[in-house]
Amino acid sequence: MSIDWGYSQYNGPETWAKCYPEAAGDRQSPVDIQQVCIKSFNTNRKLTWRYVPENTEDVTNTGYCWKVHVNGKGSELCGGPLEGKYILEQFHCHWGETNDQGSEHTVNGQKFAGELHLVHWNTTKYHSFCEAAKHPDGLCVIGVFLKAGKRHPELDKITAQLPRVEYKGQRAKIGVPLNPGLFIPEESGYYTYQGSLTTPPCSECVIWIVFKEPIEVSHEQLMAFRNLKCYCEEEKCPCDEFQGFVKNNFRPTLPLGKREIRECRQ
Amino acid sequence: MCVPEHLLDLCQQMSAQETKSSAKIICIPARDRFECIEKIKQRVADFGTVDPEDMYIAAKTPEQDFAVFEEIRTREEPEAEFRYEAVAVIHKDLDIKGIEGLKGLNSCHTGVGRNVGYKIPLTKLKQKGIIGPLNDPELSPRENELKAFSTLFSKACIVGKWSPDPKINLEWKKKYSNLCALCEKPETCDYPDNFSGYDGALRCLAHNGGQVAWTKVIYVRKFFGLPDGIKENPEKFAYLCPDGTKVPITGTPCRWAARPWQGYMANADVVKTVDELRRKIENLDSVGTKNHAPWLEKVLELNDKTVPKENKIISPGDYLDKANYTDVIERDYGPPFKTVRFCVTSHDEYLKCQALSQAAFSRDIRPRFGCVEEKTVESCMKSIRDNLADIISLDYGQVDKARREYNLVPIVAEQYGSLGGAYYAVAVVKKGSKFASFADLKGAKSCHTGLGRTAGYHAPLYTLIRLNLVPKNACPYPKALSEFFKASCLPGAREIKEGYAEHLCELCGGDIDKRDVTTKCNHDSSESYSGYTGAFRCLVEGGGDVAFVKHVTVPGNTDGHNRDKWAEHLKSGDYELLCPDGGRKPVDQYEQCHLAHAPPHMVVTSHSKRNSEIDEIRNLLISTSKQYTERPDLFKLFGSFNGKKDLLFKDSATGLKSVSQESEIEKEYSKVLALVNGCA
Repeated sequence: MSIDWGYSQYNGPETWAKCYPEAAGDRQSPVDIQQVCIKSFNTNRKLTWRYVPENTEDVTNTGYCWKVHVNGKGSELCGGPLEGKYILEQFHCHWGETNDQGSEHTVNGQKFAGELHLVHWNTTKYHSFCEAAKHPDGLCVIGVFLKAGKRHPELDKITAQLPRVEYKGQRAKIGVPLNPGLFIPEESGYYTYQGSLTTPPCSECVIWIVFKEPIEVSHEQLMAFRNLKCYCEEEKCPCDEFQGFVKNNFRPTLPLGKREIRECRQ
Repeated sequence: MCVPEHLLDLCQQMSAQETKSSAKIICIPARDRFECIEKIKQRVADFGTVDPEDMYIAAKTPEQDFAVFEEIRTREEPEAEFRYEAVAVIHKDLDIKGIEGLKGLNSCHTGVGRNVGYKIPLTKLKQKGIIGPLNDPELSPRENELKAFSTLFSKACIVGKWSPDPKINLEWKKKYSNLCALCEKPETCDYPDNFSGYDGALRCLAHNGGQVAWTKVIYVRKFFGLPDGIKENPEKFAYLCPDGTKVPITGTPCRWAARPWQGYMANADVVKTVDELRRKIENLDSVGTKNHAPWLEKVLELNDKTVPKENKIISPGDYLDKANYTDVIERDYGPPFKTVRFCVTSHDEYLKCQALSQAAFSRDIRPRFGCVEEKTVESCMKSIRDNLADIISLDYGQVDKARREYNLVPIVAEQYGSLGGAYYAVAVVKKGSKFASFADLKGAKSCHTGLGRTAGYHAPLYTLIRLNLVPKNACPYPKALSEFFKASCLPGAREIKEGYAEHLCELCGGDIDKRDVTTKCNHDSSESYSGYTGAFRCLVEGGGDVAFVKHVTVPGNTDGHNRDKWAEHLKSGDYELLCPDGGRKPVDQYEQCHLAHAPPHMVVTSHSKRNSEIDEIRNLLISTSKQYTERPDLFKLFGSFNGKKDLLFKDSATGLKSVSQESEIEKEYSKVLALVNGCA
């Protein structure tokens, strides 16, 4: 099989640690955000973000999800729990086969229909995304929960391209300016903790910022995600339990252990 | 060996006992079992006694290496792997195809909230998707459970108090009356009932139309007179297994879950020499049983019906999993799992709250407690108003403010032993001092619990106004206080951004033990002179002439009741009460010499919550206080934590009681508040 890891029973999250030992670490993501373990923190430095809609380039089917590549120039994420300046590298999404699951993080055990991840890296300390991903403060990922409801107009710019990237490895230009900032819920507090990438190699280099309030996307938009296939056009369908569709691509939660989740009310 | 501190004397008696084994047990006192687990992990102690619930807490502690090395078994069943095994018994010829077939049957239970007859079937049936949802937000957890049982079964017998509130109890028994229909006395549906309890459930099955009974194996054996078969005929009955199959009563029972034994738990360092420790415990058991030593039961949890028995070293988590018991402890109704968030104002309070959350969760107290830390009491009130936190316990003066300014309501009140739910605000002076009346206090140095609080602020201010020592129109009153006293420590006064506030903070010391003056005048435990004990300490060592505290503050911190360095040698006889109408009295005559008779501290929540939510929070608080009033050795809810006093609740509280209407004392006290708040 061409896929070395995935979400089926043969190559799913339980098996990742065999090839990617970091996946068995004690700073892994996602986690269940239990309100029992939360400390509120008030920072004088508000979390701020700025993106350049024209720099959003194209959407790719990675075989695990759709991913939008961004030219980070001019973007900026700083303040809140972060030291220094982070810029946007890419954003992608996790979802489930039905609307009652799909998010990676959960809140008091509750799952959402999906979770958007905006992946940033620390340009104050590091020279490249790859270098940053080797350090504990290298990346900052913003997580935004999706719930089924109203159509999200900005997301439409992506779902419009998804039929053109049905198979793994395909790529399509977005063609119109797209503002990733419109995926971040206004007026929402957030949770922050030290974690990892949620896909192999599961490197423990991520400062997580998970927004409390979900944004709404329509059922049809979620259905468009579920039509992506996890194999290349020229390959045969790997007959896993999802018939080769990317139906569930979320990693189950892992123990918080000694880590602390802090809650910030913007 | 780690023991809760009140057992220290008994433990030392045990330690002095000669045994065959020459090993010596050293007793390490801890606040409660919760702290014992911590001390065993940190190698301060080697081992301690644990229930399965304590093992659960231990298993969830990060980076632990605990080992359960010895069990406490009963003499009746020393070879049984578990303390008891929960089973389902049916009539052998019952036509049941799989577990789904339980729907619509007549079901016999031990009683409400009990392990084998209630929690275990509920947990396991929920897991198998047989029983309906338990997370209707409109209903409290208990009502959700009852409703689910009521829907699943045609008839049942589940006796007991369904709610601690008699009114709600009656209401539910009417609403879900089919759950009482199989009882001997359906109209009362309470203990004693011939068809309740372990054997009652079997009688209900055999003689009252029951089709399935939830009970323990040992009672099944007794009921059927096994192995002799002289009582009921075992041929007519069968065990129903969780996979839906049947097993003869005479065969090996299939269990739904088992309750593990209690036992002793150590850390990994002890494992090397554990045999010596095991011999010692066994020696102590035989000597103690022979002499009827009081320490046997209290310290080692052994008696003449039990026997210590070594087991293969096992981690507490594996120990519970082996019995399928972890999920029984963890049972919940979600997701989303509800939490009731306690608002706290210091890191120590946060830690106590987290400890409470873990301890209560392990003892099946739901919803779970959560903890939210804020900087001040006032920001807590705001957070509760805005639904960012749920509860906080407040001094009555603050309750009044919370009610007026933040739309919060009191739901439970603290109780103080024989005084019930009220306390006296008093003025304490040193015995040698010359103050004979309140008038003499002019120009003195004063110590207060905190701004806006009853004993430390409202009561003395009220008294000074009443005695015309502070004119009624001398607004604002904090300024008037700063002019009346030469210097004060009134924690929280820094919030007043006026020049005179400096005066009101002058006597404060910051965190004296950490020598940190940046926290000077903070209204929390980071100011050593804050709160009741703090105000008294300000009198003792901070240069204060008078401390405005409550009647139990002096006795609680003198004559050896407070082992902190500054307090260990204090004598209550060196202090006196200054009476508002002149004269002085010994500290125990507060009933004749007090500034105000104050309503108790109360827990408040947001008035905008639904009634069902408020009931749920109230029940949670009352069951928590009940649990830990009965068993302070498990977790000391009312008492100091990490050396800090009055966290979450006042240390002097002895329980919590539901409040609905304003009491006489509250009405009377409202006059005090009207006067002292009348200045603006």
